[in-house]
Amino acid sequence: MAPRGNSFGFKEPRKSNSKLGPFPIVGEFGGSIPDSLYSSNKEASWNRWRRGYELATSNLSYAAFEYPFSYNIPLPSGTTQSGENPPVMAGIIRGFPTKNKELGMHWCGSVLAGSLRFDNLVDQNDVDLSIASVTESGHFWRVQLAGTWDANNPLPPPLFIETPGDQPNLTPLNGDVLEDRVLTQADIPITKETIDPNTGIRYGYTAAVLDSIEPYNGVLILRKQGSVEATFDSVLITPAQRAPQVGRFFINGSKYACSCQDFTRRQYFYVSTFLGRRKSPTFPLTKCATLKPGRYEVTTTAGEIDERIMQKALQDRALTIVAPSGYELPYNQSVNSKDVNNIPSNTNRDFPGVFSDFGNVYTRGTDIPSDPNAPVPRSEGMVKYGDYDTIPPAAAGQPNQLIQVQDTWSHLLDEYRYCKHIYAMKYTDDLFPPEPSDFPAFTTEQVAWEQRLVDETERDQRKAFDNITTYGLSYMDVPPLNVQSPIMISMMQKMLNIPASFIKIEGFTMYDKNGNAYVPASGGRPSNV
Amino acid sequence: MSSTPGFGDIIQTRVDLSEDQLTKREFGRSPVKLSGNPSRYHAGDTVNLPFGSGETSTISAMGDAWAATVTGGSPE
Repeated sequence: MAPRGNSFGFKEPRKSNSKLGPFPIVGEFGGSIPDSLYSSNKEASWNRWRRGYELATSNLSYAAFEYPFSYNIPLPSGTTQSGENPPVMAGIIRGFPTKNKELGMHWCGSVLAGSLRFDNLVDQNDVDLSIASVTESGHFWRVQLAGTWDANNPLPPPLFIETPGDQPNLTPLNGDVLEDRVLTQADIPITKETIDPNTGIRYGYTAAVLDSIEPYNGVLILRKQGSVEATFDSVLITPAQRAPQVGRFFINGSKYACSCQDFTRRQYFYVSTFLGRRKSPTFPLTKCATLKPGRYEVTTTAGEIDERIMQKALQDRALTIVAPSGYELPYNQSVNSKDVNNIPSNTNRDFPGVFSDFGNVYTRGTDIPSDPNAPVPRSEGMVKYGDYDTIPPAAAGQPNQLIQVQDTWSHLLDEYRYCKHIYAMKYTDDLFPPEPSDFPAFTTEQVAWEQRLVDETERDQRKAFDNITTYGLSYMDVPPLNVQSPIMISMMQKMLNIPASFIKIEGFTMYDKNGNAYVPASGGRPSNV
Repeated sequence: MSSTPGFGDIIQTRVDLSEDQLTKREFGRSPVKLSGNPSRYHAGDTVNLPFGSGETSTISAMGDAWAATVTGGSPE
């Protein structure tokens, strides 16, 4: 594995003479100032944003690696479908040939806006969940949904799922983008161009991230920061200047996920290393300094661990998320007491080389609605990190005491921690994403850095395409037949936002280059003429 | 919009490939023949899925899936 910090092309601090010193501290946690700067550069969202643009503009000829799909969500056993329209989710998975990934490409996916609609949810009295009222609250909008809510009648799934016992309740839609684009039940979602026939001006709409909910009050809390408004002039502006409109229904906004190691925080394993063709550690390494107790995933077939990349095409596998104490996701499934997941050594520390710290969005200048007194970082001055908690010093002169370290995933519209592939998708989709504000502290001239990036990206893309044509992509390597491979299944769960056991290959209908539908599970194939 | 979109139709798209882009598309060195809309959905599109009242909709199926999972349920 290349030394950490090289992968994004920032110049390393000059190596000191080993005989003369001084000897810099190279550990990243609590490291020296050059190293901290270096980590800051490497972690910068701006870096992904800029590289995504370059990837997008050098990648147009590869648009053939697009796999549009509609996914029919299977129903739990014992329930039957009512109505003639299947519950489908529309989306696309796009492949990015990658030089550094020897046998394939990264798959980046998106679920389309409009797949989820709030006019299909009702309260206990079958009242549709339209927007009843909106109140402003600091950095948030409190959206009261129509309906009758109390402790026995909370918001319906998937907004809120009460779990038995002491497991945390589920809120799967928290973090997703919501847009007030349906005017009446079963209506066609408006676009930024739709004109109100009564007034002759455009409707406009607001898109914002669902930050949290008050399930027993029927309240959604939307974040103003990063919100986007389609104005009466058909212009997208951020942050939005007006709240979601009363009487309308929400739909979901686009949602993205990627299989790359940057987004998933999983390291590569190179098959050619194992074959003796590549001189690097057989297994990926992570410095002890960056090790972090983390989650990992195990894919199984009929209860047996099955981490094969290639499987029988239509063999469904299960995903189990293993989380150490204190880092549980609310979505982990119960596990067999005898299997690998209950061995303490597997659940209480990280697997070296598998997981390292990434994915936190370092929030700035926002309050936490549930706890207004909680210490939060502010945008003024230097960036601070919001994923730990302290108590004040016991006496003057003593440092604050760290009492909690946690993952702080705060989903902000367009500040969500995207990788460059997701940014590239947004650029090619004509959604020019806002420039992140964490501009790197270049140790080299920015113009030179960018010029090198342009040259490298073009060269890497050419090499990546050579690799693809040399190794080839088998039919098993492309969606949907690869969606249950160990690296893809967690990404697919994140993208489709349903439990992994409900992601079945038979549910995918694909569309070929001519727009014709085919179902791979039924032997369907895309047109090759 | 000249006609009413049907179920699953795209009502807003971000991607309109030009004729030039379509003709220049290549897979390796073999020109790919294209006809019609080259793929149905693009990222950034908005789809029209107007489920009627009482129908099993996408969002209710998603909710059913999560609700089933917490009680140990699985798909059919």
